[in-house]
Amino acid sequence: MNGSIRRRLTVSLLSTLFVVFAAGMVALHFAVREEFIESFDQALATEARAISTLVTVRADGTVSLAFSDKFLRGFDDDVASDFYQLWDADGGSLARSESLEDKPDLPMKAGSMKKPKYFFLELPDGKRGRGIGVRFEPRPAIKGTKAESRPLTLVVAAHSGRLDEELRELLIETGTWAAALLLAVGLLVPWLLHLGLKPLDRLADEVAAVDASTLDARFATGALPLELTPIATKLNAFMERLEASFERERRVSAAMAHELRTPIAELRTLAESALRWPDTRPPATDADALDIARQMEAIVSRMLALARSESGQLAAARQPANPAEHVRRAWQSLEGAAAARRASAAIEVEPAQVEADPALLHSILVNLIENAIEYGPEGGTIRITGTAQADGYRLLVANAAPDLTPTDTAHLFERFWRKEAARSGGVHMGLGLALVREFARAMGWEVHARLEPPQTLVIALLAPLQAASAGRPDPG
Amino acid sequence: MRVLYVEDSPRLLRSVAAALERTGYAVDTASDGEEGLWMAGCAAYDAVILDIMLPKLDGLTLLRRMREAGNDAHVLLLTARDTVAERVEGLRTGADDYLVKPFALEELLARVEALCRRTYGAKQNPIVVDDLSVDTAQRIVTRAGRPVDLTAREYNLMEYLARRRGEVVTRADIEEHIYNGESPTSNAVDSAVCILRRKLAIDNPAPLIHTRRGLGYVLGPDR
Repeated sequence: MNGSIRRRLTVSLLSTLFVVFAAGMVALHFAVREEFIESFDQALATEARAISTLVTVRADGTVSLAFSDKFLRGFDDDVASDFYQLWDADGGSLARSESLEDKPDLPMKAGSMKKPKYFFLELPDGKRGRGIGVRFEPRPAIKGTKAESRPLTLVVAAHSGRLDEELRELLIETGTWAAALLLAVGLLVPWLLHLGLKPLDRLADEVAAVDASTLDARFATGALPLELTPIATKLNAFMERLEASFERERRVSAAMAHELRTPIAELRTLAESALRWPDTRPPATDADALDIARQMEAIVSRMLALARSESGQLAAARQPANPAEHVRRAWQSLEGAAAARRASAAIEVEPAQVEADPALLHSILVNLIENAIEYGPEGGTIRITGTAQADGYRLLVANAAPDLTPTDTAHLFERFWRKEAARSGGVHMGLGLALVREFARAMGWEVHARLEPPQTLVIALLAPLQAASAGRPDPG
Repeated sequence: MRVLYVEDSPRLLRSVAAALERTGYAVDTASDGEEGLWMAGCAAYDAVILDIMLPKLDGLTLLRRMREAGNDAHVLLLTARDTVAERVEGLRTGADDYLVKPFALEELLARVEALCRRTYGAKQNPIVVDDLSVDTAQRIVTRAGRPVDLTAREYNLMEYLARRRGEVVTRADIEEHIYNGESPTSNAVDSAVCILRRKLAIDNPAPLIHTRRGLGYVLGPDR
């Protein structure tokens, strides 16, 4: 999903809070409004009850109203803020407040005494008002007598000007508060989000600042909130790997440049000397030039082989192979080189059938043995052992390595890595073991290096056995 | 001028040493750091050419040890390491110059020559003594405006004396700086000086090379 978290949170929080606040304020407004109207209605009900208690019925059925408009000032014609009218059961008007004067009747709407009817109305004087209508049975004029009575209808109404005014004020007040609260929410939400997302912003800034020159930078996890700590921890681990791989690449590029610079310098010096002193050109010049070309060719072809292997272009043609036979052939091809360094071999390789690409396996073995001859002490013994085990076929090439340290073994398979930074000439340029690793990988083999006491370098190859012949010797 | 060249690539060692010798330097070579350090302590070299990535003892450590031992020979680092940081490190360790492989032979020779010039505090070329002029770049000697015909060894002797003009130069100094590897016979230096004197006197008989009995020779105008 695209877009910013901050924007999405702001929009969703603001819209939700706006709706909730607005609904709350509307509900509050109506609750308070009801309260106001109810208290107005109570006053009306009190007046209606007061008037109804003063209405009596005589034994002959006539109704009398012992009430004067002077009792309640509002009913008087000079104030005329309150009104009442009384009707008999047939709808004949029995009494009207003075305030009604010659104005039309009040509307005859009524409920019971227990459940009176309240309503807004336009008063006879044209103003807005609120009224109460009740139907009730008047009490007999003389206590204890029984009079035939029929229910009367009483409507009491009053100007609702003050109520309306209060309701208007309430509306303005709740509206103002609602606006103020919504404004506060509108300001607080982005600010709180800004505070809340600060660690994320900081982390994002730190990540954005990383480039190839600052790969040693690490993200501080201490100050981060719990949710971001795993992200920063993962990022740090990623940075570590990235830094290591950049460093390795840098080392390889520098080493390759170095490996090529020296033969180029040799070639250039040879050519410049020959041009400068044509008469005294040493006879070895051409042989030297050829050697240099061969060395550069070896570097380039090995680099190409590595690049092909690393990019997955090296297709291993796996087929059953007998390691014992391959070891024998590899040693044979290097007997001359071994003799030059008075190196001997102790070979104990069990015959077996493993899955291997014959060309790659030969190259692996030649590189390992060549390495042991070249870097082992002069006159040393190279031990090559092969045993079929439950987890596969284990092929070990071991030679004395007096100068190697355990930390060196981690670099052995790096391109151009050599214990001694200096060149030793010839075709050894620190690519042999890198090739071994890549070729082993291409065949689905594993390769490890370890230093065993007393100062012996052991390079172990682990090959998957052919299922049918696992552990079974095969004369091959 | 005697130069030490320490380099582990045998082909480069061979061809650069040959080029230096043909240019007139007496050249000693070493193929690893330990041998280089030992040789640097054995003779007073006018310039040392040093590779950095050397077996047994790397070039920078070799240089540091040379300086610690009070050896102030002029050192040119000749290496495949080309980053600014590496050049700076090399110069700070005590090198006088730095050249990255691959290099132009011409440039290497010019830099070695410049280092040798510095050894004797002379920056100008040609070196002029009275009416004698020694052009160290073109390797031409003139007296009173006329060229003096000299063999390579005679020229080397002339240049060495010219670089140290006004100073007493002992026979041992001349043997060490002029003769390449071979040990000269007891009067070889005297006869070489004698031949040089004769050739310089062709266009102007006023002697320039004076003998300080029991000490050596001094190049300077007749007083």
